[in-house]
Amino acid sequence: MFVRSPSSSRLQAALTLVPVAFVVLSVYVGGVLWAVGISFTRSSMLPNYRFAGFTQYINLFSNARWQVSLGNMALFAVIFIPVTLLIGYSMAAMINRGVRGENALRTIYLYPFAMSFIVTGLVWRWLLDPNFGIADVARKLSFENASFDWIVNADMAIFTIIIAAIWHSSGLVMVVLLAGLRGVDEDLWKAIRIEGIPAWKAHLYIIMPSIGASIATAMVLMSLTVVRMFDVVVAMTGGGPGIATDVPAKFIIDHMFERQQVGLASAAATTLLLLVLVIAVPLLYLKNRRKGAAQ
Amino acid sequence: MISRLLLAATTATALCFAASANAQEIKGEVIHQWTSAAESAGVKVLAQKFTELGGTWVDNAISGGPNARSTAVNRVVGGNPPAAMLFNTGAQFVELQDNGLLRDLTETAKADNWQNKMPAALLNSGVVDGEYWALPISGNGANWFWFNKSILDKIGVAKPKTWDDVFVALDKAKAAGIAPFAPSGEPRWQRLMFNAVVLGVAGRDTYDAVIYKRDASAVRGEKFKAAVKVFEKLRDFADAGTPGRSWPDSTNLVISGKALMTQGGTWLNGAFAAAGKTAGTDYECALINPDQGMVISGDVFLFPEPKNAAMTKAQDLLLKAFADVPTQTAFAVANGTIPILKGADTSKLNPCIAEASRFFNDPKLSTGSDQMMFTPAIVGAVEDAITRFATKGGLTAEQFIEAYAKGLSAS
Repeated sequence: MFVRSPSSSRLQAALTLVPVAFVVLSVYVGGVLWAVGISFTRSSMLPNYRFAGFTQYINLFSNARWQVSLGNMALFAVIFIPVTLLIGYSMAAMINRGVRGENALRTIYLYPFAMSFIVTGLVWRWLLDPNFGIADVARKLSFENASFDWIVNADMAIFTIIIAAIWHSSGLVMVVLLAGLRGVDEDLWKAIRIEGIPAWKAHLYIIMPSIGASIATAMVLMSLTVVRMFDVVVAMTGGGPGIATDVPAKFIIDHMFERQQVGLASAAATTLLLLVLVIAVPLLYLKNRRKGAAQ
Repeated sequence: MISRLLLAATTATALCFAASANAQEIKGEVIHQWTSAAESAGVKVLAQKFTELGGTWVDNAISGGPNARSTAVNRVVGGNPPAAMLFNTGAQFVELQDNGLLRDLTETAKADNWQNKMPAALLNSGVVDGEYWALPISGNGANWFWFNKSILDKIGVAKPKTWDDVFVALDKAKAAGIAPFAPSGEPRWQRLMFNAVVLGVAGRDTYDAVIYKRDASAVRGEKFKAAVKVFEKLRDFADAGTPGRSWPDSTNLVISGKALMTQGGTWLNGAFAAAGKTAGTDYECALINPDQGMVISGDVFLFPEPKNAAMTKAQDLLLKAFADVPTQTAFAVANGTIPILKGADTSKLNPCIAEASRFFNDPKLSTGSDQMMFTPAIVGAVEDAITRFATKGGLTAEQFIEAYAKGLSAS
């Protein structure tokens, strides 16, 4: 019939992308800019444009709940990301050795991820309940003094949430890393075997660097989990005991809606965005520079 | 082919006509958060009356008050308002009214004589500059304590009336190896309990100064401090599973005889009733130091500024249904709340609700809840302070009093 010239197909592609570009610019970028603007106003239940300078930010950073939220997010990132990566990598490495029943194992490991964070949170909440959970089972098994009260202990509750999140996300990290491991050249393994390099050394110095892209993907997914952390907290502790397990996303949602403090919530959201940028921009810059150097 | 197209076209036209015929029905969409068994039974009563009057009830039940309210607000701001939406009694509606998003109900209120039909405290929380903006629909008493009767009998204690009585009962239950106190651990119910203690210990004058006048010096006063100490003592009797526990789960512990006492509003009565328990034989309800009165709270319906004549008509019918005395009473009985309209038949009420109803209708024995008087920002700020104090290892009494006093000026 007729053959499209490459330029017309490119034009078509560009045209197809126009609506998407429009949505991205107006809804996402526009929405972000608008929220940043609102954070400098006195908006309470409904947005208004009475300028307030940095008042909302001053209120925000003198708010004990916000301080606790930020601290919890930092703690979460520092523990959740490395531990999940370690567990996910170990599971992937194990499966990659060609164990029997790989499919079954993979399904089992990935299963937690198929559950929503709400369900995850509820399950762990019941498991850890000091009166009726695992502690009660242990007592019934004649460990009479068994008690496990982390979830109701203000100092320890955040760790129960981190445990639940690790349980939830390890399977996903495993799948991502397994895909990377499958891409490792057979010859590399053969060379490692011939050279007689110990397994841990081979993984740490040879295999891990060669699946850098998969690890980066897993890191991005986990970082998103950290910033978005909301549902598992709501389901497990509701931010308590007291305000001990509050996180930025919950702080923002509570103040945006229930407390009708749109200005304060926007200031919190803007701060969160800045934090993400402060971490993400240098990372992206480094990644691009490395790509440039490789070329 | 052509005949098939024609057929499709005719069908489409017919459907359009059907749709426009439907549009002439008086559709009233109502957003509310009444989802529990008793609450749904109450909604059914209201919907039935609306249907009788010729309307078509479009039910939009959203679980959780804050969720329902933010959905409703988003719909109103987005220009697609429901005919009516459920809010808590109090200052929540003021900003919507300020921005001209609500329908002025003054005409209906005057014609229907709301002033003589409803308790003033409840009605007036929906009045701004003499104009009516909210229709009260349900009433509750918030500062009740609930006891398992068979445990009371077992430890040989009568239904407590004073704070000393309460602590004697708690001590005896503890000595008998029974969990003495199972409060809810969610922040809003901790706030409710704190208010109950302030009214019951510090007294009506201090309570009103704090809640109605946001008087920070009253918060720093000796009477308030005494209330803080009692709250601290109660907190220390709470069982280990308290943090984060919902009120139905807490009530269940008392119903099933695992704990002696819990705290909560008249809505707890519905949970006891649903479990087949009888007031006076299976459980007891009590206001501690009842001379100081009862904290009343409730829900109101707001009516967004109508978009067209059909919506105005639907709202007129809804207003008629909601303010109808027999309907309102039947609703309250099904819902387990206090009938709010004067002339309601109280003979069918359970003793706890009947007693609450007596306090409710006596202005000397009832005072408003914090949500009725505080803006949501202040409610949130004092709630944060209270939940931090209610947590073991959290704020000290002095730090808490300062945080509460500061919270009164949050915005």
